[in-house]
Amino acid sequence: MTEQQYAELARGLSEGPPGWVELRQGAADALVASGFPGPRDEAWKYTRPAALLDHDWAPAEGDPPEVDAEADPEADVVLVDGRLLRARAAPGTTVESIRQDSFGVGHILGEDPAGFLALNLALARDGVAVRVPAGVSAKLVVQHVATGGERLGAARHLINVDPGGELLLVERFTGQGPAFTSAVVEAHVSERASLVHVREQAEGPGVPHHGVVGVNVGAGGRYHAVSVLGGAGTTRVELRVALQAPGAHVSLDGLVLVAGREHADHHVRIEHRAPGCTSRQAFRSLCAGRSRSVFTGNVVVAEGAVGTDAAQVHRALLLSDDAVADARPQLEISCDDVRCTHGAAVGALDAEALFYLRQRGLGELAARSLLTEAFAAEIVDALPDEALRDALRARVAGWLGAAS
Amino acid sequence: MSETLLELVDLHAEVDGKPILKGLSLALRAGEVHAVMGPNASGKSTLSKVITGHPDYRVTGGDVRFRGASILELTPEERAHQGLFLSFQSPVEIPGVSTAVFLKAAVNAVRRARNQPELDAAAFLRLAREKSALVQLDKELLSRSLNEGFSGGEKKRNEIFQMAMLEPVVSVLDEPDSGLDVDALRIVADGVNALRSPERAMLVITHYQRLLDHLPADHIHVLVDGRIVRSGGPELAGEVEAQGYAWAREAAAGAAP
Repeated sequence: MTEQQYAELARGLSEGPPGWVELRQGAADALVASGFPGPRDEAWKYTRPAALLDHDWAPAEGDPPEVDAEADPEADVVLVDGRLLRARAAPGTTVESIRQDSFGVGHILGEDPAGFLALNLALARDGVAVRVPAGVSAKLVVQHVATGGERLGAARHLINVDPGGELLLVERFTGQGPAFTSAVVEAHVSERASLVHVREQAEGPGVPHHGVVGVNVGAGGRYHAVSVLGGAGTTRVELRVALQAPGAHVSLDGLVLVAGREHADHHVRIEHRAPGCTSRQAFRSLCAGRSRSVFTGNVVVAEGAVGTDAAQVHRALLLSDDAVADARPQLEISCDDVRCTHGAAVGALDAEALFYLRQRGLGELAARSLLTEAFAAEIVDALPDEALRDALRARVAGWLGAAS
Repeated sequence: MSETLLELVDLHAEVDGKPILKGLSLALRAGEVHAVMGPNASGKSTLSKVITGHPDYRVTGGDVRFRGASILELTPEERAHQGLFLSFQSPVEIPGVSTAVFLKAAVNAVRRARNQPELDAAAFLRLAREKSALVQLDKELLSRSLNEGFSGGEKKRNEIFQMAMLEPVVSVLDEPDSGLDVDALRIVADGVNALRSPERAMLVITHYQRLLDHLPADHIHVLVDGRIVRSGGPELAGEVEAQGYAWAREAAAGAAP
């Protein structure tokens, strides 16, 4: 379908409070005005926008079905094809439907969205507005379930972590195609606050996935994201972080597990807008079959952002001759007295290590799997709690056998 | 007479199309320790890799037999399951793989192949504690990444520790002395000596006689240019030490057709 047709669908969705409807109508207009990104759009050089639009996606109608069988009992918030099935707040925090509490939507990612960001807002059925008050420390698990049927599961979240607050936000994407996941988060991390954001994309095949995360970090605040991609077909996650006041810090960790003809794209933009901020990026891609991993790491250091310390590393392990990994570091530095480093490496499994393990009696698959687990270990170990580490470790351990 | 465990028969092998082993024959019987001595580039390391099935080395003639049956068609892990072990000259460092996790997987892979019950975590740790004491290996190294940041001596001791854990029938020790000072050498040699038994055989590859002072061999073979040019008893090691390899090279040149 064209952007006009998606906009028409959006205009037909009139439920919800006036503020919410107005936002979405505005986004529908913005979608028509901007259109989807084209093949010549530099930001989409290696990922075809058309791959995300390979069906005529339609928003889910009515109330969400019960999906207890699939829903994680641990999940505080469950969305089914973008509709809110349940939402409970962690103690001391507030969690509301974004339809009721949409003030602030667009403040970080822009009041005039374009392309897929406009599509998300125009067709978002729901999402959550979360506030973590000053001094409160909380964990929130959000599960997005895709149920197939060519549905567009679009969800929009807004997170506010007040000064000194701490939130561990786990977003887990599950379910089956054909469906399209479009998930957008805007987050304010206030001064001295911390947001750890684990984003685990785990839908089955036939679920193209597009995610955008926009984060503003205040003085002495900290944002740490761990993004896992793979298994769903074409996935693209954009992480846009602005370090707005002195001493703000961001760490972005990414792990890509792609096989077959899967395609995963991490698109990062970090803006150092104030002096003395630090940013770290550690991305690792494991590519089997004819898959492709794309990484773009854009670091912008504004005038006056003295004492900036930015580091970026992307490493890819190609497990077949037909797999491809692209890494594009992009540094735009308008300030002296900064330290910006970047590194990228692409390689195959170490044949000598493989022989060593097999000589000790490990079968070839077990040996290859152990080496791929080792490659992913740096990202797995960066996860903040043991249960998350165990789950990701198990996913990596099972991945190669399933991919071979 | 005791059983022949490993037999190399007129073995020819090449790497990257370059012939390295040019007709090498050798037989190890149960209970024996053989040493292969030779100058650099004589084919010593190639020998260890060919026996254990490294995929980069191509056997172009002859045979490798384990307990009477050819193992040339077997994968490296199948050879390990039968009881072949290689102590690497330069053990690889594998960041991110814990020594304990790897070794437990290896021990249980070998035990499964031999129809022995697998070890659970507690039994594995008990065994590891006992065997690591054999080579005075700090147990703390078990929780670290495999060989990563280990000293040269720790890497070599880790090899012998793994050998003790895996209980191989035939062990090939590729320069277990390289890079070790005399104290470390003694620890490694003592560990290896403790693993000698009437049911096992060992093939020790070395450049220097020094190792054999601590790890006495029953038979010595001198390898030059891919062939064994002389074999003899323990006294041969002294001759090599006294005369260097030049005479052996001349002997090899004389023997060449």
